[in-house]
Amino acid sequence: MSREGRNNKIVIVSDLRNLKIVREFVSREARKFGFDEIETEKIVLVVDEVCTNSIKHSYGNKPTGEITIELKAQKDKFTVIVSYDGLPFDPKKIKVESPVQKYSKTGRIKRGKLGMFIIYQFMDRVKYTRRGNKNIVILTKFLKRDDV
Amino acid sequence: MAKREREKNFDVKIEEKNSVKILNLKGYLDAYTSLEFEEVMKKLVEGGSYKLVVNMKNLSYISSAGFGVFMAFVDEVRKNGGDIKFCCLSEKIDEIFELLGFKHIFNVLNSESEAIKSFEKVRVKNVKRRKK
Repeated sequence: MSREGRNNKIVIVSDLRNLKIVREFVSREARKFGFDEIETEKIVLVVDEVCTNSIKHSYGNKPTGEITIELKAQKDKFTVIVSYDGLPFDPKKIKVESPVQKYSKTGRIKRGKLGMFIIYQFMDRVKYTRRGNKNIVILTKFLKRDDV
Repeated sequence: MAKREREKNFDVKIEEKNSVKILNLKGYLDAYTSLEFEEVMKKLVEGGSYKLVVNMKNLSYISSAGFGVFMAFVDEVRKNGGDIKFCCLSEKIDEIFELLGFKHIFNVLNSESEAIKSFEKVRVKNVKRRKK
């Protein structure tokens, strides 16, 4: 179902059932890095959303692909790199709007694109790129230490 | 096997108090487990249950797919004089509600009894309005 490497890397099969494994992995490492419970929850949620989007949209809900989640810790910078094959994804084509903005404009509550809003809302930096046949999402969060 | 796994990660128990359906959520509500939960909500709403309280006391996690289930049904239940209200959020989930602005869209209460009572207030208001 998954394999963990030495360099803080995990590879999962593109199946929604594996989101749990990703969350446990990211949560453990973010806590170890020094994030509190709330900040860890935000990072976990964002990585979950990126993986969910890749499974649903790039792999069409088929458990035939792989998703790699790699973690890098550098001083106060915690980076999560999610890479996967499948259909390319251009975030510029998606209008990211808060649920409150949508509600105040239309008076209606509609689901959709909330995952993208969460991704941009909860990380300090979000970068989508494509290298060859791979989609790469680089998610960065800075740890605000008290002594800094 | 898939169903058993889903049951382990997420569970919903429904009870009724004062004509309000209480949904007790437990575990992790993500893109996988929300598929089953959506069916539960669909059955409730199609069956005419419009006053819903979601007790999140034992819910450990919710992602956009979980929120999406409530967003999909809330307009319909409100149109029918009901609502989806939330209570007993953990500190973590309360913070997520706050940051996503859901407290402006949904009614979030501290306890289950407060959530049930808030439906009674609406009922009294409606009766008064009808008398006028």
